[in-house]
Amino acid sequence: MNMFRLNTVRKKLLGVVLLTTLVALIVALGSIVGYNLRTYHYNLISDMATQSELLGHMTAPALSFDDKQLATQNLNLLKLRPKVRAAALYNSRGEIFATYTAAGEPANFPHVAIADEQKIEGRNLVVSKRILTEGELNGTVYLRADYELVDRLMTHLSIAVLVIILAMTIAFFLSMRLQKVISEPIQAIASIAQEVVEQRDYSRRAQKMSSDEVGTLVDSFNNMLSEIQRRTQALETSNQDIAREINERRLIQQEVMHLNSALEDRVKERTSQLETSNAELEQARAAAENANQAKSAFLSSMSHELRTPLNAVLGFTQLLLVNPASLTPERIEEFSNHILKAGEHLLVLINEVLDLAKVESGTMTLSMEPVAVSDVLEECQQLIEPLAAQRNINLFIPRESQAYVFADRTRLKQVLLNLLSNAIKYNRDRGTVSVELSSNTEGYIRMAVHDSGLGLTEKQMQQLFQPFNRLGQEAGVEEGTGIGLVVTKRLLELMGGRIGVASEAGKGSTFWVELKCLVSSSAAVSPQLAHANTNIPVSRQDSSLHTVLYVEDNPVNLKLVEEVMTFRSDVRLLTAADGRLGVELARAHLPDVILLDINLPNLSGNEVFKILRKEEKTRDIPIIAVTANAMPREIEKGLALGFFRYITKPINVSELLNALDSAIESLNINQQRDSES
Amino acid sequence: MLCLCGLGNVVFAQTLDPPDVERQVKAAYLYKFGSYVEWPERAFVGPENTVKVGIIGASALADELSQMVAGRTINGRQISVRKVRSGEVLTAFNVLFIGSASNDKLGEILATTKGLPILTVTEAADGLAQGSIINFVVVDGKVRFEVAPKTAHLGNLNISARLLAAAFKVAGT
Repeated sequence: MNMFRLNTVRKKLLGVVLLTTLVALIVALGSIVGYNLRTYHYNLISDMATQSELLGHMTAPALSFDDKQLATQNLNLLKLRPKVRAAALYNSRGEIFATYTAAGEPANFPHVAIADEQKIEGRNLVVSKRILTEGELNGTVYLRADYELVDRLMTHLSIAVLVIILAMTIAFFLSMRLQKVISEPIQAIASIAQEVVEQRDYSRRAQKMSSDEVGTLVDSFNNMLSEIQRRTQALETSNQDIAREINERRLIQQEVMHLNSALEDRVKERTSQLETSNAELEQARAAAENANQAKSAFLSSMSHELRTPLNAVLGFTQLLLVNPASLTPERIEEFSNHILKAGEHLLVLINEVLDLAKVESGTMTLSMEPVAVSDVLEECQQLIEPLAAQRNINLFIPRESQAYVFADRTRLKQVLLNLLSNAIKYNRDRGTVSVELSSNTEGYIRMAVHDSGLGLTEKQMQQLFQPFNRLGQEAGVEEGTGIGLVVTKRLLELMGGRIGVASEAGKGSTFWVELKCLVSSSAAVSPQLAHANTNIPVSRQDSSLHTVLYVEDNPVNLKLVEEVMTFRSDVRLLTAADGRLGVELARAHLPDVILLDINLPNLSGNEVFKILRKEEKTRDIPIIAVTANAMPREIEKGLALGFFRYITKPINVSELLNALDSAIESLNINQQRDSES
Repeated sequence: MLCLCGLGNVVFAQTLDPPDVERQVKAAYLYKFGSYVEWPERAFVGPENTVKVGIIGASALADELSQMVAGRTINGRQISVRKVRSGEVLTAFNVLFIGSASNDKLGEILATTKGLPILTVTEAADGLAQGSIINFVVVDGKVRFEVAPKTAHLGNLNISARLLAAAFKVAGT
């Protein structure tokens, strides 16, 4: 079967022809040889059987008449048959009677006669034949002949091999010539196919040489080449598309990788930012916690600070009410002073808290303007001198200054008063407080307040401007809220200024503030002095009687104003407990001035105001708002509505009286104008 | 088989009892000669169709032969052995043995059988010369025989060549 692995059609055809020839030859020669050998075998046996028969017949007389010589003579005739290699004659008793051997043949014979048989012994054919005479056994003939079957077989095979070689050679050369008829067209196709594969030239075509199956193959092959040519072109086009697409994708991928790395950088950046902000948050949280703790401490402190003056107010008031008749006027005055002082302190406390709340919530509004430093200092001295005198503190405040600063006048005064009162409060007995003015190159003017107190430690200075921190003075004798300096600092910052402190323990401290200095001393500045006078003016020189209507639902406030008006002989006070009554009274009496509370039952103060303004008779009456709505926005709103003045509770009596006087004055001016016209 | 046994015995016992062995061998040969001789059809006439053997002057041999051929045939014919009395017509026999006891009357007897299909067997020194067809001789202590085929032809007897080949001597050659 090896030949079917041969790689060419040529060789396969050759193999098929040769194998077929070989098989045919083997079958034919095998049959012939077999038949020949079989014939030889049977002929030889038949021949020897005849020979033995003849010999028996011939030697019968010799046996009958006991003539060994004759018997030997008879046997020697076998020389004419060289194939017979040996013969023997046995008598009727089975004994050897005579023998014959050809030249070179060993004289081996059976000692006793054997019955009729023909058998092959090696390369010999042995025939044994009984001799019968008149039906009686006369003797036995024994013949041994060459049996040449193997030799013949070898000879035949040799001849067969020679014949096969000859025949195969002829067949080989014959088929070598004949197979070209089939293999050449196929090889032509194969070589074309190989060229097409190697050169990738699909335009090649095989030549058709015959119209048989190979011819059909050529046609099919050419058709297939056309198809391949077409598909290859399509494939190349598609490959180019794919290559282009791959290139685009690679570019996109690079872009994506680039973006990814950028994104990673951003993430890292954000992460570090987050870490930073986390740390900041942590700091802020810690700060908030500190602040919260301070606030808690402050609330308990506030409770204490608010209760202390309230205690004085309530206690002395109760003393006055228990038995007023038994008290001397001096005692009454003393108690009243205590009550007044405590109430004022309460007011300061509440104002400071409100200020801080406003500053912290960012709702503080400032009225910035050029302010003369000397004016402010003078006012401060007037305000602070009683306190200094009370404590035996020597106060040195310079008055000679041409400097102007850009600030809110009231707030600047508040800042300086805070610093001065601190310097006095936390000073030693008979100590000194001095104010020093200086200007620096940056265009700021510095106001430094020196004291001769205990001074501050480094740690205390660090905690100085923290809200609600009183630097260990929480349980001290001095009244304070712990927020004065915080408000001060915030106010200065709002006004574009700065605050700082320098201190030496045991020798005193210096608190300074700096504000932007205005070089020009503008004439537009018209310092409007606050009413530093705490004494209530008890009388007015105006002789005419003025009617004042007070609309107030709170009996205590009503009573207070009634008491205040008892000092004014020129004023006749009418009171109304709600807005409706107020409007009716105003229509009925047409008062010169109306004091109007805003938060009234039934009809609010603003509504009353609007009703009165609509009516011609009451339209020109000056109306002063007296209310606890102390928020600046509400004040603005009220003034915008047309109130003559806006007075907040708790009522400052002198302020109220001033407002009243102003209203009466404006009334007089209007009357004069009316009379003139 | 008995005959052959007797023959063998003859050969080995010849010296011990020569006359008996010789008689036995000759009896056996007499019987065997029949196989190599062809008689004309007219020799066997009569209803019996047997091979008739006549013995003259050898009474012991006749007895011997009678025992030997009992149940045997020559060419399919029965064998009958009879001693020939003097004066008896001899033409009816097919085989005639004339013993040495009658050698003095040999010429007379053979004259009567001349030209007849009778196989004559003698044991005289000049048997063939006197006109017999087969004559026994003793050579080297062994019983052999001489054959005169021409004499046989006279009586229309045909002697087989194979018998001639076995003969010690063939007269007329």
